[in-house]
Amino acid sequence: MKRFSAEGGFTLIDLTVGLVLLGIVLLSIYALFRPTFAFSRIVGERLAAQQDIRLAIDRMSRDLHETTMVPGRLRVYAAEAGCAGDYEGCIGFVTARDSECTGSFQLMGGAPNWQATLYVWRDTAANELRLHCETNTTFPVATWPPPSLEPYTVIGTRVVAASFTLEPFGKPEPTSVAMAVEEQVPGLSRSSLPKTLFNRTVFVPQN
Amino acid sequence: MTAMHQHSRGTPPSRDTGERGQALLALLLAATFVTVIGVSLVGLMHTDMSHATIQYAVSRSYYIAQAGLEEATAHVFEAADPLTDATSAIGVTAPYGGGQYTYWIDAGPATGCSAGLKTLEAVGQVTALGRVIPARVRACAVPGTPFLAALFGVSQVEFQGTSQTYLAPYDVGTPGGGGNLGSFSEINFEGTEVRLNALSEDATTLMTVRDGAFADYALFGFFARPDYNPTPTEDPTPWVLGVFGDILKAQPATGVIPNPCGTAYACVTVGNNITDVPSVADLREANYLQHVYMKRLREATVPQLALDPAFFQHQAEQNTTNSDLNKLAGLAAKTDSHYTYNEFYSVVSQVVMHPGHYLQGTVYVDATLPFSVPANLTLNLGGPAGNLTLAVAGDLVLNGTLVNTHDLTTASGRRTPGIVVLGAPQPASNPTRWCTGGQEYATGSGRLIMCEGSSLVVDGLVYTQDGMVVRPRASVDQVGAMYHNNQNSPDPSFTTRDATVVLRFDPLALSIFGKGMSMLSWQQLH
Repeated sequence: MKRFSAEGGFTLIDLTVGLVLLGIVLLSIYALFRPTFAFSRIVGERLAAQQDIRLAIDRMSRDLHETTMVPGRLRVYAAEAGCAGDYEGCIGFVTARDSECTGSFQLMGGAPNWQATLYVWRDTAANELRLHCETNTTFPVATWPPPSLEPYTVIGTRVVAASFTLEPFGKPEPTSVAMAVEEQVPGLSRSSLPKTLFNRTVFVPQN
Repeated sequence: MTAMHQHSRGTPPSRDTGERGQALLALLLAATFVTVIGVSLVGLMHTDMSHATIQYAVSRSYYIAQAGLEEATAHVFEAADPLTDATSAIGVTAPYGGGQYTYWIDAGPATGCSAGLKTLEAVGQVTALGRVIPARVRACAVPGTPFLAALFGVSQVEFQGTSQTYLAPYDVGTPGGGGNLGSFSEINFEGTEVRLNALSEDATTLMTVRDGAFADYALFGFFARPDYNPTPTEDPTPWVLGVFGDILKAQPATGVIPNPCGTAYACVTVGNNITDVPSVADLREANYLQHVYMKRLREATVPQLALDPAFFQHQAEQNTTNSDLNKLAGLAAKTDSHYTYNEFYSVVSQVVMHPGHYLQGTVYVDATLPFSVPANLTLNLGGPAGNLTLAVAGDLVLNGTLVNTHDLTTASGRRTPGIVVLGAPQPASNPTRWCTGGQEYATGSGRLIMCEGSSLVVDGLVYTQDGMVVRPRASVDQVGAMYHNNQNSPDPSFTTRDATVVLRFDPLALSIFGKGMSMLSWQQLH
């Protein structure tokens, strides 16, 4: 009876041993689930990065669909045309949307009434994909960079590579423009998975 | 057993029983922990999958909307009358690609394009995650016009001497919109002095048209002289090319029309060379045509078009709006507008003698018409904002100044053809000589001949059954389009020599052909 009375509460040792055992159990459970957590984090980060790329491309989608492949109205700038050093993946093309390139589509006799020029490029220092609306002209400059690239909108971050290509490649009269973006996935230093994600989409300008 | 006895008698719980409770607690904690982690993981994955699913649905709905727009286009193409074709306000809905599209033609939400144009709108819808994901696109198009060309010749199109031609847009906004130039056979530039869309290359060039005198670059929407380098070897494709139209190397849908180059599509040649020039850069650089500016050269298969004389004859016979002029001309019993040669000249003389009296509607003349207008006179047949279509069953030869302008504020005014030279049912076997030195021949096959120094101000379509020639110092000021056919003769479809042609292209002028539709613009609403 005494024995039972004395055991009505826990001694410090009981508690310590219990907590240690619980800790061991929890650690074991954590260890068991650790790869799952890591996988969860990696998947989350990769999906987030993939979403970023998609959103950057989506941000360009309508503008590229609505522009034109007419020579001189859409220009892709190679390194020889000045898109080098601080710049990569440079493109300029017209838009018929007013109000800083985001307003309504302007028509003149049913045809697009071009309002401005959009410039998109990757800033190699900041690893950002940037977009600038130039309302003073409806012709992209012949060589990069245009007189001003500010203000700009950041449409992609952690972008480690970007390119625009006219397709069919090498043809004198291309019909579409391919956009390729590579984004760095954060926090993957110890993962064996690729450190970047890549997305390439082809747009056919309709005007 | 002792413990059990004690327990059964209401004694405190045994140690073993209490320890089982603590283990259960720990197990519950662990299970809760694992469940929370698991649910979070599933939630994260679910969110990401939802995003991916929605983006996939957005992409699909866009292409389904595009399919709807294509269906709308097909709807107009299949219509007996593309100009009046329309859907109901609720549109046409059909399942497609796992979703559905609805399209409207000039009905429901499909509004917003200019008068006379068709507005096509389509919405594509895809259901994803219990939500409807839509995409909406809209297009403006010219009905009844199977392809867009400001100046088109079935046979050769020739630019000779120091001819100066502008194929400008009619509606001028920001720079751009020049008209296309095309042929089924050959487009020939005789020499390096030919000017085509050469906008104030060295200094501002003023052009005098019916609206007044303008810097030529203003015709294309420029507010200042374009800053470009006209030297092709330094900059073979200056940016300014983008504002002009294309050169269409065309082939009729019915088959190949032979040309001097031996190519399946029409060829572009320079001088006597019969080698096809492949690009604008080659045209300007390798062939030294430094004053020729077009956007690009492209091949296209397009239908061969023709106007039916019976249609215009019937319209003229139904047209009683000129009966007062007929009476003035001594043709009291004549109420319609289908004239013989003598009748027509009697009526035209009344137009000259009675200012304010003009011909209206479709006028059909059963003869070759040689217009010799004195230098001090401008023969305005239709008035300042008329609706005259002059249809000639023979040739039309112009010596002097002839005006036939339309009310361009209305779609019908822009659609109304200006001059239709249909040719005689039986052309003469012996040609008649016209112009200085009798250098132009005509047999009544349907040629429009502008003699030296003559001037034509016209709106709408200028159509000829057997070609048009613009002789030195002549000038054309037109808002509309030109289509020149060929009567299986060796004559070119269009020739301009040492003359000035300002053609402000209005695609509505081609609606008279009543076939198909041509897209002018496309936009994504959301």
